[in-house]
Amino acid sequence: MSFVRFLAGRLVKAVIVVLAIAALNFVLVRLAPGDPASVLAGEAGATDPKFVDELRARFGLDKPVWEQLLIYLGQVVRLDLGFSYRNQVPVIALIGERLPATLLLMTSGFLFSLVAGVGLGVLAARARFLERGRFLDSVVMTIALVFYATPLFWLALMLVILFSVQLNWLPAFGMESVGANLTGVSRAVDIARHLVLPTLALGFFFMAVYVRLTRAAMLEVMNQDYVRTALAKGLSPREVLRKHVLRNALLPIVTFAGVQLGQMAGGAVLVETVFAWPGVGRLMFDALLQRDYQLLLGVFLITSGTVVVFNLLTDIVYLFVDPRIRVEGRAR
Amino acid sequence: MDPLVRVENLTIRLPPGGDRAHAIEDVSFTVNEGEIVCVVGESGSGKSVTASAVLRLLPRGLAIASGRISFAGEDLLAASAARMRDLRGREISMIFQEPLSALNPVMRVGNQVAELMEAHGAYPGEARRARTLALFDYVGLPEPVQLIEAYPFQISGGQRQRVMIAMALALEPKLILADEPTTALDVTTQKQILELLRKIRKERGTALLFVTHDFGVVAEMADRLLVMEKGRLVEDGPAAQVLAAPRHPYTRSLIAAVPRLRPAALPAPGDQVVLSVEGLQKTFGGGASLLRRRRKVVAVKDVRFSVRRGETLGIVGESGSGKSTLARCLVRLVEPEQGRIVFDGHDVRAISRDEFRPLRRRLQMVFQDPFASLNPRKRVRTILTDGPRAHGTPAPDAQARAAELLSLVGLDASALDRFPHEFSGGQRQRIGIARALMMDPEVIVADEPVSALDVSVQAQVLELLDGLQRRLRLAMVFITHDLRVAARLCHTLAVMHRGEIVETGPAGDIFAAPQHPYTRQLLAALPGRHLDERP
Amino acid sequence: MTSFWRRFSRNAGAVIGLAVLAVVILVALFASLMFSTSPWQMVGPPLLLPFEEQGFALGTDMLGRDIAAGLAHGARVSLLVGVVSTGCAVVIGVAFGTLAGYFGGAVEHALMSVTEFFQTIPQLAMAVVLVAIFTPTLESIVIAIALVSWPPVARLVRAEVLSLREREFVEAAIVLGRPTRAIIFGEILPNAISPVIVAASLIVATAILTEAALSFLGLGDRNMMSWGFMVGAARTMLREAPWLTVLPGLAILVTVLAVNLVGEGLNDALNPRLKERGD
Repeated sequence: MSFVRFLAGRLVKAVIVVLAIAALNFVLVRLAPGDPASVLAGEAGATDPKFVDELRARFGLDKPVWEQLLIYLGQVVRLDLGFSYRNQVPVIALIGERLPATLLLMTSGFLFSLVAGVGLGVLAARARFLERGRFLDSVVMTIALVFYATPLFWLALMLVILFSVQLNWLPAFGMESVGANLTGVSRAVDIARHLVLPTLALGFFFMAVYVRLTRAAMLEVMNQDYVRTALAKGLSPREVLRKHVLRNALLPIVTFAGVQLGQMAGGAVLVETVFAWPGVGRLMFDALLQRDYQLLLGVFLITSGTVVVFNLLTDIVYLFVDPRIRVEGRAR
Repeated sequence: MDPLVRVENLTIRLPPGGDRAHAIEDVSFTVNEGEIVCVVGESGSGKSVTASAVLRLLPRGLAIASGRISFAGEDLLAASAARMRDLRGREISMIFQEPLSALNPVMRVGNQVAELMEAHGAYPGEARRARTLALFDYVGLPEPVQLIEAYPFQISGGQRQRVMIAMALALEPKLILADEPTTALDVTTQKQILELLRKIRKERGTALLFVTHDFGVVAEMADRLLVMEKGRLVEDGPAAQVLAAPRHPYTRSLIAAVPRLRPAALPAPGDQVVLSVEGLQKTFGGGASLLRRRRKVVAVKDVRFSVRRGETLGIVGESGSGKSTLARCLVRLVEPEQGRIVFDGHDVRAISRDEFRPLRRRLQMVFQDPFASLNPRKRVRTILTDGPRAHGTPAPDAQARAAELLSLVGLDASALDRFPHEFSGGQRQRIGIARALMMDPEVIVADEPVSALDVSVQAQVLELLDGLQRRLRLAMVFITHDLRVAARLCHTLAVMHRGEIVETGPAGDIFAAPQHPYTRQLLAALPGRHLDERP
Repeated sequence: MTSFWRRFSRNAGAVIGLAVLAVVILVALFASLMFSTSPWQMVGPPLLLPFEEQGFALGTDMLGRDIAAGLAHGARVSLLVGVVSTGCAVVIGVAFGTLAGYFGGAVEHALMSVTEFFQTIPQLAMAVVLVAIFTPTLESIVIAIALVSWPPVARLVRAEVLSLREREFVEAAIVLGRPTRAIIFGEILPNAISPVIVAASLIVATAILTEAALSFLGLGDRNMMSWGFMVGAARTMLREAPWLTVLPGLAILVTVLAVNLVGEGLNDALNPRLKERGD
């Protein structure tokens, strides 16, 4: 059961990474200019000496540094991420409330970019393989090039100008219509309508990434000897494309899908900021505005943790795609 | 009777901007039913292109400019794409050089064979699996029931090539195109594959168009022989006749260049032992990381030998025998974990790498790949003088020496200011040899120095090494997989098998009366033994 | 060099990109000459449309600041941050990649774990946290972007070095007794430089986008006008004055596009595909 060991290895690694991110948080606060307690208290909290003293006691700031680190990691393990003075609630509660919205946005953005990106990438590569429709190839690649260079937040604003301000087709803010008190299907439809623009804003950049990646991966595979073997068997170019080229091109695509998730989490901060989407990204922006650093670091930690979990899922997908890992537990 | 394949005046264009306009030019030949026709030539001769043209599967950028190809009376160049697909795999199959890359890495091998039948709608349902099993059995794959479930990376190189052959045979084609099908295999595996291909021809009457660079293989296989030179067919005739009495000067020079398995007349070595090795051992892998156990491979096991001044010791073995690791141990590119390497009176393993550095001057190496062994970004002048300069030789002295050595290895002094890419493979190998000689070494370790070269260039480089050896009285450790090459140069042979030296002795003795069963097996597997009887 | 230009100029997009980039660089260099007053200064009536009034070719914002001046000065920050942070990222990445690739073993394991770690963390989120905690200045922005941009360089260089150090000419240098330093700097790195240059051009593009995102979120250097800030500031006027948002965004888009095009041209020129053999 070598693949069990492979997965166990990945799991251990994921836990280590999350703890390392927490340690990074710890280091950042200590490197920051000023007293760690006031840094953590944030702008609002620092004016309340009682709160600052509480923090000092809580993080054991009079103890040696390594002991402080252990205290902090212990709190992280117990999911205790501190207290937001401005909001007067524990940080983890705030994040927990916002996390589903972000997961919804990221999932839909990810699916959109993956489907559209891989689809267009296949289309472009296919045009080359079948040696017709080079025009299609250049059109797709130009689209990808432009979206690859478009700032996410600006694209979000352009979508608002076009679809909300000019055409008035789709809502520009929030996740649900305010005060509508919808339930059931109509609520789902309402959320879906709110989801369209943020999904596009988040997805187009990554779509461009996947187009380029898919096309490059497929062109690479097309030069492999086994593609020639498949043609020599009497398979039609279309069959070769589907059964051999695409299948092998999936390996780098899956690997890369995992790597992209981190970037996508960053993109979500921008998109949620523009659309006032009630997720952790917007929470991060609010924390910035309020200079609430405990909240900021908490959001950073949870966002990173989410990415680590998604990476773990990518590894599982990879197990299904590459028999070499499934059978031998080989690292890629 | 009409021939099975008739190629007439075939010309294939190369993409513009290359060093020549055509991959092949005005090539005509035929293949009869049940006939084995070998196409032989050096790299760039267009032999592979000729074979792939029959299936109309040319590499991208190449196009048929003129000519005719007919198969069983049908004009293939006029056939529709659909008709070509119908022929591919059913009437004409193909086997490639590198079976690992020719098989889809993420598909089970049984499915890859079944896929060919599926493409032609043959053996539907249960019959397909049965047919696959029968084919695997026929080509000599062990335990077909388990093996059809394997992925290519799980089976050996020889087994992969058998899978490719099973695939080629699936629909009993009339013709199999085989493009260097045994070049990537060891000599003992090659023998088995060649036997299998002959059996197929005998039992099924399949014709074979067999592309190879190896005259030994030609002598084993061919009924008829086509010789190609730079895109042109220069000789076409019955194999026995062409091999015995080649008409075209190019064919003559090619055949003359193939070394013979006969000990060459070499000057006797001196008495002084320059380098000796005892109990050398090197293990790779082993040791487990937290999550993964790595397989332990003993690459070199308890090896002992010695080389005298003026002596060439040949270390021969198949891939994976540990001969290259041994070579790397000698120059400390790899650190062995046990044993003594005595050079110039001290055990070089006992001293640190820094202490060893001054000794490196006298212990040099020549590498296998002429394209990888020279830094592409440096001029030949720098490549040659870097070594002596690192040991404190003043620049003008090193430069003068470089010019001298270039002429010694047969290159013009103008080569000094050129970059490696401006030279051919053989010329680069000469530069690599000159680089080693710049250090005035006492020992040269040569790791397969001619195996990447075409046979005519190989002969020249072997002659150069022989001449240098006679002149400079070097001690040489010559690593090779090719017994014929070893015969040309070596006084003494050491046969390596699975990390161990199984037999050592004077080359003549080993060829005449091999003692160890493995040595006997190796000699028996050598293709084209009767070629060695040439005058 | 001539063959480099021939291959580069065969890519029409790359030539256009280079031309556009040259214009952006000129504008950045001569911004203070073209617009002598600070781009932060209110110089005219607010919300002038482009071409509405002489002297304000691209109009003014809600505080009467000259948009054209803002764009010209913004080019400075974008290019400066893009180039400097990429430079830092390349230095870190090459150091990590070279050490890991050449020495292997525990060194490699440690360095690549760190690299993988930094690659896992959401890059923008980390840059936000860094800049926020260390207060937004040009230095902290450059450092933050460099810190999130180096891992791909490290991975690329490691892969190159790994394959190069197995190459026979490197082994030959070892056998010749050349010192390790000479082998790394004389044999390995010169052969690894082309892909690094191509990767660096793509990192410049990403760095410009990251800088824009940071200043959009209000984490820009308050002493320097930047395109991201202009978009962020004009966001509230989206309905009334869309051009305030459109123009600086277009400036980012065009600049990043130009950089990417140049990167593709460099790729064509520096990493020519091996010609298919005619055998």
